[in-house]
Amino acid sequence: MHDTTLYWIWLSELSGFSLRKKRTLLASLGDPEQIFRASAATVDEALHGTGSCSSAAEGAKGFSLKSSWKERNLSIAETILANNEKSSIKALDATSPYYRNIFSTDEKAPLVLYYRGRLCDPSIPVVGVVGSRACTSYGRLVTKSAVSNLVGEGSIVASGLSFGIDALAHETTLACGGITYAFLPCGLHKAQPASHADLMERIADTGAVITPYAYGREALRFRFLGRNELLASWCNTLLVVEASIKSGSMYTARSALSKSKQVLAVPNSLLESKSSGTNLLLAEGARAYINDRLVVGESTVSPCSGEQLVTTALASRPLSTIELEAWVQIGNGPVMECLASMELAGKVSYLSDGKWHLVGGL
Amino acid sequence: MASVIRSLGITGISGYPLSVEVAIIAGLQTTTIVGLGDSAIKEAKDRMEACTEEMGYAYPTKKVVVNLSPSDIKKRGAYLDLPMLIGMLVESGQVKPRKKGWDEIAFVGGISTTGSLVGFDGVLPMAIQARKLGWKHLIVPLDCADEASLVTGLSIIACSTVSQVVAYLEERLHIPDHQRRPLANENKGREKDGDYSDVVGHEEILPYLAAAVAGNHNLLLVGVPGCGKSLMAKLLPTILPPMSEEEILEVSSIYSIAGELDGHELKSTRPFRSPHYNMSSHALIGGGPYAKPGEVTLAHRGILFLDELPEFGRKTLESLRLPLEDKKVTISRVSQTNRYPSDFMLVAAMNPCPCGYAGTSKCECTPYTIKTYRQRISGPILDRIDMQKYVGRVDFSDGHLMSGTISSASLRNTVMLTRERQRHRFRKAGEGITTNSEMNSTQMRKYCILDDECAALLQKTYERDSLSVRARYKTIKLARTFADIQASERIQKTHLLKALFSRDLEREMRHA
Repeated sequence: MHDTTLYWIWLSELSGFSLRKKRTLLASLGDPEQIFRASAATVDEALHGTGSCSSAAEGAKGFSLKSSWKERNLSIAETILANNEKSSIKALDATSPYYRNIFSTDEKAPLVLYYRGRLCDPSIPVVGVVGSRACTSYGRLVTKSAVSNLVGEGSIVASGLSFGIDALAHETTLACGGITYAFLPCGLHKAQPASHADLMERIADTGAVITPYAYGREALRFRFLGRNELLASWCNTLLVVEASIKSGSMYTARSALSKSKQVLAVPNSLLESKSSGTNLLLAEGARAYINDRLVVGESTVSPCSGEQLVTTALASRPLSTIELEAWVQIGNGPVMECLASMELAGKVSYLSDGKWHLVGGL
Repeated sequence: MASVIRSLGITGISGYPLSVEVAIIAGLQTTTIVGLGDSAIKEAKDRMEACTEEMGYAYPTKKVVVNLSPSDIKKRGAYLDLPMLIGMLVESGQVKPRKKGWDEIAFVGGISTTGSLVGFDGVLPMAIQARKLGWKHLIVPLDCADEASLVTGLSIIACSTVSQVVAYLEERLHIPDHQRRPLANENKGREKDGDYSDVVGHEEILPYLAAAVAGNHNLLLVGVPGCGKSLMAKLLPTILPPMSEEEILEVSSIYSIAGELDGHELKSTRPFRSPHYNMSSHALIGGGPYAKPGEVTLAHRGILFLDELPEFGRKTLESLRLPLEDKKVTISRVSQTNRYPSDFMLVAAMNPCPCGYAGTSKCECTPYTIKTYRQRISGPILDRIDMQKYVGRVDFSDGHLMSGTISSASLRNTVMLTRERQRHRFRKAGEGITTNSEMNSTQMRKYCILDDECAALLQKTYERDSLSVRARYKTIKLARTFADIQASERIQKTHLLKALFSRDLEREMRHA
């Protein structure tokens, strides 16, 4: 078992070959070990058929298949494996039951993945929840509510461990006792961002932290895109909570749409710049995310409950304490008490604009 | 036998008795000044010689030894010139001072080669010390007589030349006690500072400001640019309670030493110091070659206002840790070690993020930059700030909010009544403190009893926000102040809630 993993990592890390070429080799030569043992001529033939002109073209690019093939060795793969073992990182190759389906349906999927924690049965639906790092209180509210629904339905929640919606999705899942996957844009030697190291550990306790990048690879800009691609191909459904037009969440959403996954977008005001991307997705054919439980008002409110009144008042827009008192009209003391207990329960939060925001717990 | 002249020196912010002993002994014509004087004191011998010549006296042709006793304390400045010169003239028999009352006269002042007297900084603490020692007369240069005569019960003899001093000593000239000009009306300055009724749309936060002042709690205002943080902070002097007689003298002494006593009048209003964020830690804490007092000491019994808090250098801010806790600073330099009081109320203002507009659609900061920006205020400093309030943007949509509804007078009234309640409570029990923020844990156990419901609420918040023990104590003290504002004997739930709602910055960090 270990042996084949070593060759998979070698093939994945092998430079000078595009992913498509590696896939061609796999298709014609079988498994990576056989590729490693094959001669340069065999490889050349597998890649280009019998014509010899192709190797001349390779040479023109400053890359000689013959000489580089002679120097092939397993040292990089061995280092990665040793480090993996030390940090209890496991590798997933394309033959693994957890990854086989994704690998075969998505031709851009990488050869090897690394993960920490434990993976669940691939038949359990995975729902990606992504959104803006600088999210609004509306985004937080929807995320909390949506994620607790998803956990209740038995789905696995996948996200990217970033600030904002991502972290909130993970945190809410853990708080509801659900399982969550985090997709990282770097090797698993550290958390990205570093301040979420503790969250990453807690995710790995019950769920998994997954990345296409080997131990020691830093989070460079292009790797965030690779992470987004992987997240898009791993999940069955993607929920985009808040995204501006030019953002990583939009990349993930577009990528999921191209893989014909179901994409849900949370509708919001057309005036809200943080939601310009999600509104655009709706226009482009994504489904609108609707959650009945979030609808506040109408007949559900019983006037005796202060918390209900405060919730109704804050549902329309954030309010300052004085405005809230004027709105709710139950005097100074009760509103404050209400707010204190709601804040302790994580339902409302007092933010830097000096206003109370509804953030969850509906 | 040597002649002994009474004089005074300064250490820290208080004066101490000093005697100038002059002996003329056999030897070559030299002058030696011993007793750890600095170069200004060593150079006094040349001034003395020139001045003696100018006045028509003869400088002794023998060896003159001047000892400044106590001789193990370092002395600095030119204010000992006059006592040394008088000592020499008396010792050489050229001046015959009055017999009666000679022991009760002290001298301070610099001299110039033309024979006139020169003023200096720090005469007020000397005069205070002279009165404490029971001395009757203090001879000072005319320049600083106004300042010295702020002390009642001591006769200040103001002279402009050395000849006048000599004439006075020989009873050839009568000099009446110096009369200072009457004090300006202290309320006059207050009105031109402005009024809280100019503050529009912050009715929510003004009661918190009054509570901070009433209990002497440190305060941080967080808000978008132009929302009125600095305005509200700068209006704080309009609601500060007046100082007691003792505090006035203490604060005036500090300003006298720093040479900042404007117009030689007592500092009768509480100081409001607002240094620029470019300042060094030495300027804040005190220092320089002579260990001079810094802003924390100049803000003693008043307010130290740090606008744009995150822009202050890290070292500068961190140096506030000790003075905020100990209420005093010790500055050590080669020349001397001074201990200065620094019992001030810290008021600071900052934006919620680097661009300033967090919470509005204008903000372009990433969560990470906001985080690093807020980390510029370290945990230990934030922990020492009792009240961190968000100041919202003013909402003009209601139209009628064109003038504020809360005036400085009503807030000041609240502050005065609340202070009086605290003072009364602590004086009755002989605790030796006057405000809630000064309570120690024993006193808190006595005066801040929480019922079960409040204790449970506090415990829940304490665990959830992972507050420090200090923050927990500060919250309870703040609750005590809110209770005092409503003249409540016990801390009730609403009081505790207000106190818990006072740490906005930490509360939001918990959610982020």
